[in-house]
Amino acid sequence: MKIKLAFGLLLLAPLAHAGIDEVVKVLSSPTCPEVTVACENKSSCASVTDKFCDTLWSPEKKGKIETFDGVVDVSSSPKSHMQNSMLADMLALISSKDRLPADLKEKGSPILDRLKEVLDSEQDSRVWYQNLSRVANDWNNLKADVATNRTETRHPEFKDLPQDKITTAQRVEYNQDSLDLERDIIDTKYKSSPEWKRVERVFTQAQADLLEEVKNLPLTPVEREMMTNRITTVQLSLPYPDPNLLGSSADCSSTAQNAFYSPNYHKFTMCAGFFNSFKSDSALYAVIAHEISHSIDPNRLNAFKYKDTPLAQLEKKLITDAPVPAVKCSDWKNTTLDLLNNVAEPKTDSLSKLNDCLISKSGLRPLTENDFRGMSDIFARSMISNNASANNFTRLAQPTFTKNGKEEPNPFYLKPQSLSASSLGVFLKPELRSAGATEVFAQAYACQMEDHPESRTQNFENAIAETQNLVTLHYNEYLRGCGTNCTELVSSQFSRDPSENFADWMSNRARARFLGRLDAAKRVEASAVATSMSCRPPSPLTSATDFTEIEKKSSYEPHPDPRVRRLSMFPPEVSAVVGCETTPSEQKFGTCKP
Amino acid sequence: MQTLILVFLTVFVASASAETKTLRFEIKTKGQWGQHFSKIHQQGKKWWCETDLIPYFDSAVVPITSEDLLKLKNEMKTSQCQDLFVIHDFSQPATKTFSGCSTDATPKMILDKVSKACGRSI
Repeated sequence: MKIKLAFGLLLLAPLAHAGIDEVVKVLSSPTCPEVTVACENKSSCASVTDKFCDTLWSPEKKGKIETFDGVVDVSSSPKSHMQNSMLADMLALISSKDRLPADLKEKGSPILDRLKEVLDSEQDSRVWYQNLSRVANDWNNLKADVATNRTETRHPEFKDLPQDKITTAQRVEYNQDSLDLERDIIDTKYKSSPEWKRVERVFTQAQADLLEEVKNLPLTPVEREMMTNRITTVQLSLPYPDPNLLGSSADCSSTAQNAFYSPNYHKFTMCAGFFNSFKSDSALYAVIAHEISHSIDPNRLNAFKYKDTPLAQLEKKLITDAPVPAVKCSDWKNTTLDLLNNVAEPKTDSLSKLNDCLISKSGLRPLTENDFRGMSDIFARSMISNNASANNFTRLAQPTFTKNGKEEPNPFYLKPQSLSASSLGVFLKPELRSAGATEVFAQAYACQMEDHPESRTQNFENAIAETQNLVTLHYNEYLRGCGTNCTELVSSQFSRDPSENFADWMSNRARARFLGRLDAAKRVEASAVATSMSCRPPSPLTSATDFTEIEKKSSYEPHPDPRVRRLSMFPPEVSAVVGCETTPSEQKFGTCKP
Repeated sequence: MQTLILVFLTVFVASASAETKTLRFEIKTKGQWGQHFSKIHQQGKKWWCETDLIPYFDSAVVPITSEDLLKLKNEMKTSQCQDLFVIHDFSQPATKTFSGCSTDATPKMILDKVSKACGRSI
């Protein structure tokens, strides 16, 4: 045994300074089964990912590694210490110069020429950074000017408006032009880029693999049809900041390293910082399959169950651009009374056994009917409080106001959509809105006024109380549907949300299909590259993985410690295809079955 | 002579302190697949950012104000969220910390403003 151990260590010694090629070569050496200790290391899935991360962040690689299917580059430029993904975003902008919208191109071209000059003389000096900042700020100012010109060409009357005279509707016009311009720039930069084409290609593969996996789940015909439909219809979108297209953050369009599925839009996007850093099918697949899986996670299924309830149907009717009351007041009264007296029974689903396995429910407080009512009341009170603090109910209920001795109409009067537009900056399309306290209040207040036009303050008070009752009912029905899986009840220790683990579990199974299509020799590397976004550069955290693993147990954050997550990417389906082994303690939910 | 030295020292200290770089805000965001930071410094009348993307970026506008942070006070997080933010406000005598979901409307608006001012988004 001692000889075997010594021989094993001898074999592993070169790995300390090995590049990825060497790591893969040694890990997949066909002679290994002859040598016990080296083989245990050779066949350990943990060592596949750990070695890859060590190599990625080694002094030689510094965050950049060539893979068989592309490159993973989370490094900084050696000349300026600017992150390479930011550099890539600026280069994409410069490349798109000739295809920019006409009104931006004329004045934009010289700025982008200057940007190119600055980047060509890249260096680590304060003066250089200041030059870069100046060009970037000029570019942002130009975009603002072009968007303003677009609005004012359509509405010449806006030009001379003082700031305090601009209405919400006019501000929305300006914002929408700015968002449209951003959309045009993002399209020009990335729609036809090889990086985005790669995302599109991998997205289609992941979608098809997940559809195959749904076939293997023991579901009712209704559930299967719903899940199949969800995965088939999920759309891929470029990272637009426009809330009517997707609403991703400003830096998602350019530098953020993130990706997400948005349930409201039923769309998936990958931020530019991500696809500019991870130019590898294996890396992209892991993230895309995970995010698409969120379209059928326990949270989504619960939202679907809720969608069928009579209360949800009533709430849907409140989303309209038509004048309030959206629902006839006689119908409103009868329906709400009926709903308040008959709380719908929650439905169960076929994956509850799997969900309970995916996340431990030990140590939770017991969840009773009283808790549902109590928590619903707390959430509803918070929602009412937030709106009351912002005077939203008064804004909705007061028809006019006096300004400079003149009576003017209140633009928010019974218009909850205007209220949300004033904070969002755009009017959301009805299909993207959901009914909240302001929609319920506007309906309730309009009906109170219809019945008792003389009792202004009493109606106002009654409408707030009615809103609170209905919002409480909303939470009560919703929470009873998800129970100990509710994301809303996690921080009060009543639940643990299995959605993230479900998305990992589902996407891992799909990824086994992806790996299975590769040559056997490439699978080890592909499985390692898939974990690259969870590789962390050396820090006290990476040297104390045992501590962070324990520490994360005390966090409500849904994602585990990065190393635990990397190891969880080798469930039995994946390790069998790759040919590596995991210990039971490394398998986060590897044995869970529906 | 002493007066001269005193005047010299006063002028020197005053000009040095006007140029002193002071960390005013630190903003960290943590998404499921990556994390970012922006440290916002004030130097005299100038504002600049140090981020995970670039060590120095001159801000054309004040990246974040106390009015922005006031808006965050009313934000209440009722559940766990995927994308988190933490803002440390060092501009007051007692450091204040704000945290929540970066995808919620008000934080998103403020974080987008910071992104633009700090060169995260051009």
